[in-house]
Parts: sequence; structure tokens; C-alpha cells
Amino acid sequence: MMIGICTWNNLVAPVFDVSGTILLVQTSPGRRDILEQEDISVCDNLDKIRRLTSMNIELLVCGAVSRLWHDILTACGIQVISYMAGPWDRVLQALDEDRLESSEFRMPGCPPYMQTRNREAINKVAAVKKAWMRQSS
Amino acid sequence: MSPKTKNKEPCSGFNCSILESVSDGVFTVDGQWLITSFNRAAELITGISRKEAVGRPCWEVFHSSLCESECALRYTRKTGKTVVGKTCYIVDARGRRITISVSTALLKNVHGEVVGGVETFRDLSEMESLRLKFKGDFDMGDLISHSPAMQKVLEVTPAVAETATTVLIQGETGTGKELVAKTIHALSLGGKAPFVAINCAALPDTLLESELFGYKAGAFTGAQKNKPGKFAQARGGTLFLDEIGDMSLSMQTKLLRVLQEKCFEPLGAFASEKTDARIIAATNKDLKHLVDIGAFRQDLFYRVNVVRIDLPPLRDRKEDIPFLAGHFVERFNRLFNREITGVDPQVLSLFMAYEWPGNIRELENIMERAFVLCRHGEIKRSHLPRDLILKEGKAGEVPSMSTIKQGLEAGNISRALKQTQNNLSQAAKLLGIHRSTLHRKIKKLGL
Repeated sequence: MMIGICTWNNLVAPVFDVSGTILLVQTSPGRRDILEQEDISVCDNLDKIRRLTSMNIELLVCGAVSRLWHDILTACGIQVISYMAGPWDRVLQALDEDRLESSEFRMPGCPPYMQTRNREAINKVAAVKKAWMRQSS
Repeated sequence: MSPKTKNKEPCSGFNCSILESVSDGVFTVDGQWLITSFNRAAELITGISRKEAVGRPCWEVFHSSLCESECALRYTRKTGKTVVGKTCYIVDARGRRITISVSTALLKNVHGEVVGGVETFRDLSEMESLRLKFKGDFDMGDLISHSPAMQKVLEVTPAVAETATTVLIQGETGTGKELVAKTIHALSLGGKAPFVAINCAALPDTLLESELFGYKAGAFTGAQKNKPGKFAQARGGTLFLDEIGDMSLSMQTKLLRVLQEKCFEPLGAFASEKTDARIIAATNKDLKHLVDIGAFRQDLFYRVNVVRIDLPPLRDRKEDIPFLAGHFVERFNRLFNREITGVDPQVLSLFMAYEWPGNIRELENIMERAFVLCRHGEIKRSHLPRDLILKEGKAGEVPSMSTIKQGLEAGNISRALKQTQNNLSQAAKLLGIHRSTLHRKIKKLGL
């Protein structure tokens, strides 16, 4: 599963709409590989959409995001876990360990509909992991 | 995550009352960027309670477009200089972008030592809303596009605006021809002069002639005083001739003369009047075809077809639909004073599957209708017209997001290849991806 996480100073970037860097992480059964860091700071909106769709990201983890961008990402088939905060490596670790809904990583101000979508995305990740476990056993 | 600070808020007594009574948002941070106070207005503007805010790093609460790269407080802390009235936006607790202006200053203790910073911010969304109302229905945001199909249009528009050349805009009904014409006008040197529009299909010849050229008192029964025509009204500005393809051959002859000689004669006048208005003509028909079948004068075609802008139909730029839908939500929220949060993903998926014969105007109308029915929350399927749902039923299931994504991707790649005459490297550059990635995608999508 290809995960994109918007980063800034080793943290999850505060606002997706203006974030400058996306870290691409490939997860597979039992492993997590950090592939590359993409600079999207110079992208205008058009470039950003092109870049995001070309990166084959299935799940995007980010900080605050406007409704507009949330809808665009969803329309492009990208699941979004938004309003996350803290060091990005710990956020990814928490995603691995199904602890992402802990208040430790929650950024204040997450609109209710995005909380619902977050839950859906987290459940989907959990389902993928369960499928991997079934395959391996 | 940083632990919440145990610091007592510095806001107390008289100072606190002042801070609580002002309409500007105010928050203070300590040396670690943790919020130490957050006034009532800050709660209202951001939608985040003081309880949630205090003790958090400011960027986790403020969600401003400046946080990452141009933080005003960081600048003040670094240089000691204040920032006054810097404009940016924040994302509030409803996911809306709120335009604000921020000002910052250092916080010092009684010994003059810097102990943190203070940021005040003013909600400018009301002002933004008023500005849009005064602008009337012309909103350049409607030209919003992220589709390669529209890129040529967006690239050529400012270049065309710099010249005074005649422009022909072709596109299906509802694609935004008048909006492009208004944009060209607004960006041109005569942008402050009038933009005058006339629909050539809506009027019979005699009326169209008097509307275009005007008349003098006594020119015909009932003409009691002089009336300037559209050419005179558009002096120094732009005359937009909509649906020029529906103009009669006789009127075409009269128009051709004006375009050739840059002068016209009002009905009943003895002398010609000069015109320097830029002509932008538009049609939803194929003018070249009309020339071929003898319904449009060839010489007039060459006169108006100096620069041609072809507007793609919405079905060829479906990736713009989420943006446009979001744009209409923001606009109708302002116009109707509502707080609709957005469009349900199911509705968006339905929009992406629909063919939009009426183009952006149809999308706008559907969104406006939905605003009448939807009082709060998201726009759902139940707020859409029955016709749209029925068409979906006939067409079958709404495609999944991944199918839509593949469709969009295939469309983008095809257009990029067409634009670059199948040059893979150039197409990859245009799409912002690596050549090998493009090659893989072409294979995967079976293009």
C-alpha cells in the first residue's frame, strides 16, 4: 500500500493545502519502506493534482486540509487521514499499530465529516493488514 | 507531541477583559511556540476552543497558509520587527478557508526579556464576500481549472488580453464563453472601460441594428431622442457579440464593414462615428462549417477568427468537477448566507459519472437547486434533481472512485500525448511525471 505523508520539520505538515513535501512510504506485509521525499512546494494546484495522482498514493496522512482539497483527493481515489499532528515517524508507527485515533496524534479543529472519513480510512488500513496476516498464515 | 503546558494564562484581570471584548483574534505563545492564551474572538474565527488550543504548538491550532514557510511570528522572533496586516488564510474547524490579516509583536517581561510572541488576526471573509457581491456575477474563480484541456485557454487568455485583437470564442453552451470574454477584458489595457455584451440571436435584424449602432432622434417613428448603440457604449472597452453564428447574412455584411473600417453609422445619422472597441465574438456553432454551407460570410469569418479560443466541454475536463463544486459551495454559502459544508462523496461520484450536456452552467444550476433544498451539512443525493438520479439509473451503477481515477488519468495522458504529437518525453514533462512512469501507465491503461 502506497502511503503519502505531508511532512515539515520532521512533523506532519500543519496544512495540506500549502504543504511543500510529501514522503512516500510503501507498506507491505511485515515491512515499511520509505521510498522518497517529493518536493511539491513549487507546484500550483494543477501540478499538485497531477503529481499526487501520478504517485499512486492510496492513503494520504496530513494535517489540516480544506474541504475543497479533501473532496479533490477523495475524488482522485485517495483515502485521507487528516488533522494528524506530531513527528511523522511516530504517526506512521501509530498507524501500523492501530493507535492513530489516540488523542496524542489528533490535531484540534477536525470537522466531523473528516473524523468520519478518518475512521473509514483507518478501518480500511486495518482490513488490508488483516488480509495480509491471513495470507501469511 | 508536546505535553500541554501547565503555564497559567498570562491573560488576567483588566487585560483579559480587553482581550475578550475585541473582535480580532489574539493568541500568545511562549518560547517553545506553545499557545499560552487564546481569546474569545480567536475561538470564534478558528472554531477551536480555548481549552483545545492552550498548550498546543500554534501551527496545530492556527492552520494558516503561512505556518509552514512564512510564519509571521517566527519572522518577528527572528528579526525583532513587527508584522502588520499580512494577508493569508486559515482552515477553520469546518474545513473552510477563511481569509484573514495577521499582525505580530514580541512579548517581553518586566525586565524587557523576550518571553514569547503575540499574534492578532482579523477575519476578512465578510469583506471578501462584499467584494464579490460588488463584483456582480463576474467571478474569475469560475474559470478555475486543473485540466490539461483548459490549460491552453488559461495560457492564451492573458496573452490575448495584452493585444487589442479580435477574438473568437467557440464552445458548447454553458462552457463559460462570456466569462472568458470578461476575463480578457478585465486583463486588458481597457479593463476599466465598459464591457458591453449583446446576444445576436435574441433580436430581429432591425432591432439588432439599432441596438448595435444606435439611432438619432427622428430616425424612425418613436425615436424621440438620440440613443447610443453598443459600439458607442463600448468605446475604449470591449464589445462582446454572443452567438454571432446566428446573425443574418445581411447583418453580417453591416458588421463586416464596421470591423474593416472601424467606424459605423447610427440609424438616421449623416456622419460616421469611429469605434475603438475590441470585438470578442462567441458561438456555440462551428463557424467554419457555417462558412462551408454558406450560412456565414467567409470574409467576416476571417475578420473575427484572428485569435480563436476553443472552450472544452465539462465532460472533457471532469477532473475540474470537485474544484468547481467546491467553488460553487463557497459562492452560494456567501450569497445565501448558508453554511453548507460541502458535497457528499456519493454526489461527487455521481457528478463525475454524468456527461453534463449543459456544462458548467448546468452544474451551477444543480448546485443552486441543491442549496434551496439543503439547509445544513453536506449536499446529498436527495438534494439532486430527479432527472440526474434517473439518468444515473439508466446508465447503470455509479463507477467506483478508482474507475473514475483511471478514467481521469487515461484522459489526461491521451490529451498530453495529443498535445505533444505522441512525444513521450514531452508528454511526461507536461504531466509532471517521469517518462518511465508514463510508459508504465500507458501500458496499464491500455492506451
